[in-house]
Amino acid sequence: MYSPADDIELMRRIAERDQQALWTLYQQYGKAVYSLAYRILGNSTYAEEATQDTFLKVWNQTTRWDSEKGKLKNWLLTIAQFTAIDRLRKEGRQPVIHPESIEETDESLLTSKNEARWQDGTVLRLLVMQLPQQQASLIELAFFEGMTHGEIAESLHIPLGTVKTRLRAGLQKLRELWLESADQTSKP
Amino acid sequence: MNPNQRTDFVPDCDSLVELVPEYAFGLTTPEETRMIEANLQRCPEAVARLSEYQHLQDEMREAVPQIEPPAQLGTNLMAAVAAPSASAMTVRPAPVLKHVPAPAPATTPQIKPRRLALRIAWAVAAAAVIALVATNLYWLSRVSTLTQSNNVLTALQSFQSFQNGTAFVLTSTDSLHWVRLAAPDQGNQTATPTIDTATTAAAAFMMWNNQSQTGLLYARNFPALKPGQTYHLWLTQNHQPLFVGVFTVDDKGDGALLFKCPEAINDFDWAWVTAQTPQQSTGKPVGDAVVSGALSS
Repeated sequence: MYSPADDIELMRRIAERDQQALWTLYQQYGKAVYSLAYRILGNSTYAEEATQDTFLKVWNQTTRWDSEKGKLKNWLLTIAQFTAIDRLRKEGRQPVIHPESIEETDESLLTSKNEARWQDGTVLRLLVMQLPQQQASLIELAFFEGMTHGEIAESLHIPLGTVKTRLRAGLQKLRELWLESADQTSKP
Repeated sequence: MNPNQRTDFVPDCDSLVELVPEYAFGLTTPEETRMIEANLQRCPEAVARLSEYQHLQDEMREAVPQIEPPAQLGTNLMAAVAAPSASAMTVRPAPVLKHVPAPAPATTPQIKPRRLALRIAWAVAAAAVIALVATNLYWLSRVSTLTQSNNVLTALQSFQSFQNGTAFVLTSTDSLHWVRLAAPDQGNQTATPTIDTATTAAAAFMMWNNQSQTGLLYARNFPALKPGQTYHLWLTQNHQPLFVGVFTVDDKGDGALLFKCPEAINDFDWAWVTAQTPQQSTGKPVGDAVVSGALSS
């Protein structure tokens, strides 16, 4: 299991142009980066390119990780998200509402104390499914496709005011569900 | 006009908190963004709320279904990293020392002392490497010494440009070591490290200095790689192989790698190159050595 100290050492070696360190970084986080890129782009070729671009940005030090501000994985995934959304814009976006991969909703999972479920994202995906479909879809477009209020309104032929209202309500509701679930998880 | 869109408007804390979700998700207008950023720190509740949304976003990024990336993705990434060394070998010839960066005047205000020292060290090291190649070793002297020397120099310069001149470890011309890595059936000729250009056998030339953890490998006549493969350089210490870098070669089989080791190269006793995919390089070399040689000279 990688520790923050391992990540700091890894990034130090990458800054010194150590190819082996970059390969270790890819082995550690490549799957997560590729998965996010694929989720955004919905195309394996584009996802590969976005993943490679993400790691090359790290290698070329176009942006630097500050260990004081968060985990290396979160920083990498943020770069991956913006890289993929940039690619989406270049290719001409086609708004797609991705169906959730979880077929059945098991309410017991929401209060599970299994830490692994938080780490693999199962709980959060279930929380999103608890939102009204209209709100979940708008969050999807805003977060995973980087669309603005106006772009969403135009794409879905919904009044701009409606988009703003639904998005704000959806984000607030998601936060509440997330905090409640985290609170229940942390209770003894 | 919406007061939230005025940059000189001072919102109350409740208004800021209300805008935080959209701000966190990049949905605010430029005016709203400027207004929030100008006033956020005076509203602890909004700061805390923003932190919550940022953590929520982190989890959303991790919550996507996990998919195994294609096998060639790692290969392509490492080949892209290695590409500057390979492509540098095919650029146009130029006078040998013309492109060696000259030491900047000590009074140049834009260059920090450490950067200046590295530049000077680099210039000295690059010149020493070229001199070593061109004069001491008769490196490819039988065929166009100038061109081949330029290729090495260009490769080194490419690395310098690629690294913004900040990461070189060839900081001394003292105690430079070199070794020839030969194809298994050609024998290791460390005593006379020349490459016989009359043959087409694969060979490589590796150099470093005593204290350095960085070395240069120059490959020649290497066979064409199969799809998905890159050349991997390995060093051995007490029979434990260490992967140190990958490179590719051009259509003539020439390539170069400036590599960095976690320990001084002098501490290793053997080097060899294999052709394999990055997926295979999880700690040990796979397949036969293309070239190999002892590092003791």
